Amino acid sequence: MNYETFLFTRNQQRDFTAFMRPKELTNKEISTIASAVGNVNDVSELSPEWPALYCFPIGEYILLLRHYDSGRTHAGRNIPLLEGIAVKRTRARHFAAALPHFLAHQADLLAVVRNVPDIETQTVQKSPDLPWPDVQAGEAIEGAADDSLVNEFVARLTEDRLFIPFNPDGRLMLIAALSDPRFPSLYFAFGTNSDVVARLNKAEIDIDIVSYFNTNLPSLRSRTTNEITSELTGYVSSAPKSRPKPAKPIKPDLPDLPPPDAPAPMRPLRETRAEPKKPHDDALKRYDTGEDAMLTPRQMARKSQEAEQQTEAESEKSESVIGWLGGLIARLLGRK
Amino acid sequence: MSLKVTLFGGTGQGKTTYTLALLYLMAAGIEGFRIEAEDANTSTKYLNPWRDFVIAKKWPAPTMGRREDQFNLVFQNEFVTDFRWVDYQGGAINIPTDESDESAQLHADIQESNAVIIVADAHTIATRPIIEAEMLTSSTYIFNLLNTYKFKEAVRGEGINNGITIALVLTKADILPDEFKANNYQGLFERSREVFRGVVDFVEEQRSQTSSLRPWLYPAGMIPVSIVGEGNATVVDPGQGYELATVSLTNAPQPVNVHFPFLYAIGNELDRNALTLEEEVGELEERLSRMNRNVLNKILRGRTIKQLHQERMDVAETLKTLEPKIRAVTSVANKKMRSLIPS
Ligand SMILES: Nc1nc2c(ncn2[C@@H]2O[C@H](COP(=O)(O)OP(=O)(O)OP(=O)(O)O)[C@@H](O)[C@H]2O)c(=O)[nH]1
Ligand SMILES: [Mg+2]
Repeated sequence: MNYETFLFTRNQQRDFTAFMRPKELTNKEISTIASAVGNVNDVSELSPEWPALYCFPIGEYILLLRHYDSGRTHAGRNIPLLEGIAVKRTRARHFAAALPHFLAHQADLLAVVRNVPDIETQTVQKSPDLPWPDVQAGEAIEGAADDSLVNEFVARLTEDRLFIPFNPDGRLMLIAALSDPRFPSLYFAFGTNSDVVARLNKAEIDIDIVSYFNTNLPSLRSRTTNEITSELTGYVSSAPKSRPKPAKPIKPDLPDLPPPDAPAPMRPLRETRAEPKKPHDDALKRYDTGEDAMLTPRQMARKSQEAEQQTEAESEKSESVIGWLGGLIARLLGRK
Repeated sequence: MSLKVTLFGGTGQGKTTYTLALLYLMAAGIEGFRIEAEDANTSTKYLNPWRDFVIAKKWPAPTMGRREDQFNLVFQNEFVTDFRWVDYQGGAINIPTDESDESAQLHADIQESNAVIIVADAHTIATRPIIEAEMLTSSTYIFNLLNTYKFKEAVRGEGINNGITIALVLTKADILPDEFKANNYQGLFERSREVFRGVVDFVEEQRSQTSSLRPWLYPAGMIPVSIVGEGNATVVDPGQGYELATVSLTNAPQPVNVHFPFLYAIGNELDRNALTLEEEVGELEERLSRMNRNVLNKILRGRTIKQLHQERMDVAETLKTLEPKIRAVTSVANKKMRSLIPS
């Protein structure tokens, strides 16, 4: 059994592109993934050590992806990166069994960009077939402290989704659910928001386990109404203390960024260049077109018609003048 | 009556920031106009990143893929038109259609669009050599697309809804060097006409006497815009090569001129439609008879020319009832727009 890889990001020259794409993933499918995950507006809390994780079927494949801040920027904006592996749907069962292993080793197994020498010069490539990693069956995976909710989820899988917090506890619960042999293949979005899930839904991709950035309590929620049907009682979040902080690659030529838990407002990176606000500089507010207001299409049409009529009238007038002159000359010359 | 408005512009030019500001301003209402999203979730989708922008002073993320949503424009609580709003990852414009779905979609969107709003970075236009500004704003690519799908077709006499409204948003006007702001932004307008001269020349040609096309079918205007407002952002790094300026938001944003280009696009498009829809059945027959058969079949989709004419008359009738609203929209917007064609 083989797998393929997926790498989606942008560089300075080329806008978001699947630089590495599974051979049978179509442009349209790539576009669906982009517009779904693009609903995450802020990736600054996501790092290779603590990425958002997605697993869902699309086209011929099942994808397992991680999503984080690449550390690169364009026009001052953080550039996100999505990378991971793709397995043919026909191998779903096999893949489901190996998922906990892939998740436990995501830092190695999903790190596609690591094999790219320079993303700035990278061209679009089709993924090679890679050999299936050596997955140890029954690998020791620490279960979550309380798996009563997972037990309930087994019974309610068709009606409900499992919601888990976006912290290390949640990740353990995710791995516990994925390792549970009672489930068929489970699809998840761990570290996301409702717009992403809604967009995937629109493409008929149904997610079973969801963790929004603001999910605090593990619970089961109805797939149709999103109402909570069951909540884990007595859950005490071990976050945020244990939520790993992103360790971002920092551009070598820039001074240190503020620590991620510093107050949010952005400081100019080079404060010395920042100019104080000029008190009277309000050219935009004063901006005015004065006499030059634009005409609407119909005003233009009418104006041009009027102009045409006027020139016609004038030419008629001049024609009659010429006619009269002609007559006069003829009479003077004694013809007629 | 439904309109389709497509946002155009290279990556990083300011499309998404403009969209967020527009939807925020118009959600609350401005000069009697209001935009309503199809559903509450759509509004939240746009308002959340706007909140991050205002409170956390974080610019919106670079767009991944394409986003299309449906809205209604309302004037004094009365429905004016619905419209589809499309925002893209700007780079879609520089990629062949077989390499990306966004790119293929963009081509289709242009063909279907009634109005386009071109968003161009005024700072880039002012501070980069013209030839670089053309590449960074994608002005040449934009002309290429408009020419292929809107202009050429019109010259050949094909297409039924010939013409398109073009609004050029010169955004980031707050960080312009002072000399470009002087005389009501004269310096900026002149340079913008040069950068977008493909479009300017086409529209200008339509206006000249020799043209057989009706010039009013291509209303085109521009305006300086800022989402942050004067003095509320600083340039941290002016950028070079593919990299655009890195800008830091220092004070609370105060958007300026944001709603004018939008109302201009919608208002002129309604007005333009009112004009073309009133044509006589004879005129329509004659115009359609000159068309390529395949194109004509696409347009008629099984209808006869008479039926098509009747449908158009019905729409024209609806537009008549909208007349005061159209006038309300254009009278607000047109007074602030500067003609793309030098007078
Ligand atoms: N000074 C100033 N900078 C702005 C303004 N609007 C946008 N910017 C800057 O331009 C950058 C890019 O803006 P976006 O709206 O993300 O650009 P876009 O056209 O959507 O880009 P893509 O999504 O890559 O196609 C922002 O991150 C800001 O740095 C403005 O009104 N004033
Ligand atoms: Mg954008």
